[in-house]
Amino acid sequence: MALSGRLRSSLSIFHQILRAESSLPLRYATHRGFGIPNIATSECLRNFGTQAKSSEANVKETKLQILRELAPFQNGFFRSGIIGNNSFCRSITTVGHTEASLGQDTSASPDIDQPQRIKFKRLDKTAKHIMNILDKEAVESVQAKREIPDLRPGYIVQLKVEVPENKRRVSVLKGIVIARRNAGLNTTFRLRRLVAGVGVESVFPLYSPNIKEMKVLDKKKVRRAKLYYLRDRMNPLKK
Amino acid sequence: MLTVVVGGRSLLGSLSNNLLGAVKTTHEVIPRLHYNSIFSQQQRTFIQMRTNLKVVDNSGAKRVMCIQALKGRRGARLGDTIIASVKEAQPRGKVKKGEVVYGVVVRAAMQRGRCDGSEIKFDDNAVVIVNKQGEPIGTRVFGPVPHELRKKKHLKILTLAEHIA
Repeated sequence: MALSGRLRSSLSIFHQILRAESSLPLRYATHRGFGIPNIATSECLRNFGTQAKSSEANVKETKLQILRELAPFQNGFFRSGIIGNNSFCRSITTVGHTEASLGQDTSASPDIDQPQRIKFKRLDKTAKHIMNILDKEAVESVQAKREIPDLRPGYIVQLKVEVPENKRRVSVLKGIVIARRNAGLNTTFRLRRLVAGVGVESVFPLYSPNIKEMKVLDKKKVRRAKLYYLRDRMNPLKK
Repeated sequence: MLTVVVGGRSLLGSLSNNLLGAVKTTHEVIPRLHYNSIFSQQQRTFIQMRTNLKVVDNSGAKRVMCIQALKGRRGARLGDTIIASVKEAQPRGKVKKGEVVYGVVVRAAMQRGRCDGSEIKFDDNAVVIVNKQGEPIGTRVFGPVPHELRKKKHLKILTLAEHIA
């Protein structure tokens, strides 16, 4: 139980290192030999388990030892896996002997890493989570660039849109938001307006770069998220 | 199962059984089940044979019925050309009742996606009567027309239009 705890902690730090460095050969090495560090760290942890140390010291040692493991991978990327294994195992034994001296060197860095632990899930679960993270990052980057007001159904907005159909001119659209569909970066909203006597509904992606400016003119009180009943109403006030 | 068209493409638009579904959506008799929310919204589809369309120019016709959609196995969409038969006409006009004419769809109740990810949809189906070369017979076009006509090279209609949606 304690051993598995240490294993999990070491693997999370491993992932932090991956994200921090993000160099391609390193990624390759990890993908290729992903099974190997697991065994290695468990072996080394077993070595360390015999000695009575505090948990921070163990964390430091495992971190150092992981760095030592990664170094031969970086060097031996182009060699076969067997050779990599041999040098790898060799490095473990040396680390195991000199960990006493190494333990005092890096006393600061694991403490910084400790509060930033990213939870490690199974690879396929992490993959599902990655799309969420990417989506949120994309949304945040657009939010930082342009000021996008909160659009809710019942708002009367005025848009300045640039139409890409060979027209560089910016057209002004004014209408009522009748629906909003949240899907991360693809959040869309429906705008209904009366154009020259005919009702027109358009769906726009909220974070579209074609929307140059959005201004909320009025907020109507509605008790619904989707105002499709307005289609039958055709009220000429402001659609 | 008919789906609600909220903001994206509906998969049923491509199935052939939707030809009947578009007609009988609002008149389905569902005993005791609260399907109001699903069936109160119509699934709008293509403009096909027997579709009635409004005429929005001053060529003399009032209503036409589509008899053939040129291009498109399932039907015509916004910006496409159709062959239509004039069902109702004004007494003194360039076209008479019963004539077979070509038309360009300028407003369609079915949403049409644009290349930037937006969609546009009108409240009615409307057509402008053209000749075989694609030039409009009338001299005025009423109501808004979409940008899609520019790509389809119906520039004359665009210049006559009073508003480009």
